[in-house]
Amino acid sequence: MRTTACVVMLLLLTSIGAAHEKSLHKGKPVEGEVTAVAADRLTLATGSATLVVLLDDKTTFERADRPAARADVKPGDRLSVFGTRLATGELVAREVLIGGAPDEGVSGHTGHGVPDGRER
Amino acid sequence: MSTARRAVVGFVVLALLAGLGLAAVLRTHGFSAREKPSALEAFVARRLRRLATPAAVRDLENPLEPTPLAVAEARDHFADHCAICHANDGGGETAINDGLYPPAPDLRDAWTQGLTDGELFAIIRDGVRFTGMPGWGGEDEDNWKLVLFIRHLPRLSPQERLMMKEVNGLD
Repeated sequence: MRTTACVVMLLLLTSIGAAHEKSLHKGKPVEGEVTAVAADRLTLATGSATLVVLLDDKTTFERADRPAARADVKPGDRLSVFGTRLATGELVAREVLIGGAPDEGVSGHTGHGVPDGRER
Repeated sequence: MSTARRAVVGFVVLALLAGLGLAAVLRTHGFSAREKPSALEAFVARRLRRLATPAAVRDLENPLEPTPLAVAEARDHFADHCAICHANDGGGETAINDGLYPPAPDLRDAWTQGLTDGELFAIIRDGVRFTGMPGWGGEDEDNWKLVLFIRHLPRLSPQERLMMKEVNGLD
């Protein structure tokens, strides 16, 4: 009984530590197709809606696990975008994966431990 | 009997009565984390907690401006790490908090909002001993953003609550 309690406590503490690992602070990506490109924003068709994606100097771009640039994004590209939704609805992009996230990348990015050990 | 001796005897009698009362409670009732602290306990604990923050930290002001992006980043952070105990709206109505002794306070109420920025920062970073609040450590910038979000909680919109639910699945 005591051993079980210790193991449960250890797992809980481990999950709390992992949950606060900054590299995991990405949340779920938004995926969609680029319909318009401007200097400071993209418009993304996500299937059910149109989303404005704001770009700033902290936004990074990747294509097939290699660094890319904002200029590489073209209308018609499929994107996976990690970022933060403003209260007004726009998404401020932190990481833009051109061509969408690879399968193994998607599972790696969506995992985000919470203190009870569940994965979102 | 001198005044000093009377005071000592009075103190001893009071201590004995308190001890007997405590023993009676222990024999008949025990302690449960599901109970709510008495007003006296809450009063004493809150004053003791205030002493836990060094004066230099207590007087700190948040160096960050409450920009829409900073508040939104902290909203997602709060949804991911804090809401499981504090609830998305900060009200503390969660299954975990229901069984905590002492429970996490309503972050929107006057007592929490009356804490200084530095006190909120210290609670997030260092935790609160003998409670369920862990010291998260973390980076100062992230903790200050969380302070911004705690200040924002009384004005949380239904739309923002929906965004938090998308992050953690909690109502």
